[in-house]
Amino acid sequence: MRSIIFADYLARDTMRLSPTIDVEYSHVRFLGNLHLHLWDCGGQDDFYRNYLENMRDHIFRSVELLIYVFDIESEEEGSDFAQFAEVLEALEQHSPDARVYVLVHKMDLVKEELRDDVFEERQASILELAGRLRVACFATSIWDETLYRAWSEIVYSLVPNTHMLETHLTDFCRACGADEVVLFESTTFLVIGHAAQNPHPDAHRFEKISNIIKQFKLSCRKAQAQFEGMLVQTNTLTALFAILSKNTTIMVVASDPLIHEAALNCNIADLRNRMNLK
Amino acid sequence: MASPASSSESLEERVQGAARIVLMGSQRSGKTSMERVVFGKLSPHETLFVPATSAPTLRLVSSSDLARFAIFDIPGSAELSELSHNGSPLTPFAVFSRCRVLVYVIDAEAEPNAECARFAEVVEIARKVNPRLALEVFVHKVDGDLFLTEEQKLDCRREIEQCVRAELADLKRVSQEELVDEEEVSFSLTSIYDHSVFEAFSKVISKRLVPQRDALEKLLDALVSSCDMEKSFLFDVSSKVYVATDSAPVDSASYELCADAIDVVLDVGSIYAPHLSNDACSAAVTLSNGMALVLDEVDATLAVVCLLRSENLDKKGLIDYNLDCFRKALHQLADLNAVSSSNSAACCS
Repeated sequence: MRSIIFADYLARDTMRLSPTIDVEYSHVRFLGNLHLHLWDCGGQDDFYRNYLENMRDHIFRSVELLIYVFDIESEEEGSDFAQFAEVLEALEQHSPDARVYVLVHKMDLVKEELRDDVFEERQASILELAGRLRVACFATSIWDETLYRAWSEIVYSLVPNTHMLETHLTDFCRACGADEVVLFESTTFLVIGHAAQNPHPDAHRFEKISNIIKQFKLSCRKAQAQFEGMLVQTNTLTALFAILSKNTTIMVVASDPLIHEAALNCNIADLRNRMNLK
Repeated sequence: MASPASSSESLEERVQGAARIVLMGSQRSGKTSMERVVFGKLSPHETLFVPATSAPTLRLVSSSDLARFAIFDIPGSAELSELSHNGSPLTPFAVFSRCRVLVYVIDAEAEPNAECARFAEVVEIARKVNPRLALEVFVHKVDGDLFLTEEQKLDCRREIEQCVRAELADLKRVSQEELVDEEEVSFSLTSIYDHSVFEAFSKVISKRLVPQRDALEKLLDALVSSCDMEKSFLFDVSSKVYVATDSAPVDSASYELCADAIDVVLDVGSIYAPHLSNDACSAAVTLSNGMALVLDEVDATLAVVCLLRSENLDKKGLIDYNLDCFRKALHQLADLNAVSSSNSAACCS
């Protein structure tokens, strides 16, 4: 899962990944200067004992965010939960302010009509264990955009100054006469900010776009190129993707046929200047 | 504009009237999965749940007037004579008489000799009924652990190619009449997990099943030269198989890029303008290597996608004008096609 979001793996190529041994430390630069330290902890029982006993301090101190992944198809539900409870306890002891995101994973293996019920039930038992920690649950699968929904939420909570960013975006959206403006981080294509003038009925559209563009970025890379920008036009829609800064891509959607692409480009250049994002 | 002929025809008649691709191969070689992935929008990892096909199925694929054909999926579990379709037993005549292309699927992981021998048997039966039948072999499932490098795939293809040619040469020697020439079979390596199977079907369709292939090729050539483009494809939007391309050679990377561009553009469009699916969509994508893609929906089922250098994108007016001319020419061709097919239907009945 980490490989898909941060290392541009295709979902089907993840079968070739080997299981994580102990803890894999990795370091991701997000938005240029936001450094994320990702500690990917292997899931075997032996490693767990180690985390909870010998490395308890090391692992659970100054955690900003814990992402815990449940396998929905796992046969040992009882021991999975017992482990989760122990992890939460350790976390509460060492970093009580940490946020916890629980991903109920491999939902693609559950029959479609049962998915909601299965997830509800799982979520209820997870929240019961939460105690004083802030816990949020997501149903995910690497095969569709649910993975991006969860990660967008996670990353969004990590980006500082989101409020200021959104004020800028709202101004920009109004200036363009656009329906909606969305700011994406360029490598992961996760959403880091958005502003809308007209409400849109589909609440999950950002994840879908992340997923769509990410897939396309991969095929561009196969052709030895990088995705730079895109303009989609119909009689009633103009959607423009453009690079805003080194690490961000902006999407502007306008439904007024009188709004010209050149005007949008001009406004984007202006926004770039105002935000000092050269 | 829908032609009056096609609207009055029933679906059944249109299926029967369409040119056919017959899909054959051994049991579990992946015929149905392949067909569903390419023409049924099934995602590859879901094909694990596709049950074995027990009865022959005929599916109408593209109903546009420019490229209309059906795929006849024949299960590999039984002999032809044991199967029936629409209540009547399946004779070789019923299978092959209306068929333009035989696509024979060979599992790359299976034992090649037995597979090739079966293929030769099928060819013998088919060619007796329909001497003009084109032959294509798909060496399928080249995504397994045995085929990690390009070289392994090519080796496998070479082995099967030799084996098939030997079998067909035998066939030629044994039978008195000139049934088949071993050089006329084409081979493709395919896998449902990447673009290869789409590209293989594209080649089959654009080469054998589009009646106005030459006219379309000339139209695309004219478009490419007047706008200074590198490559252009005319795609069937729903399957992402191209029905025509210009005369420049096709390289897989640009085919993949163009096919993926259709997905991106339509998906993004459908999120923000969900109710306007009949609204023609156009798009331009710029890439960091100095290339750009232009996409234009020419009718409900077809889209033209062109690859060009991004500095030529500045002449947007010229491109739009030429695309407009192309679209008009295409509509005229389609109308012509509709008239001729309704005439021939009238003659038959």
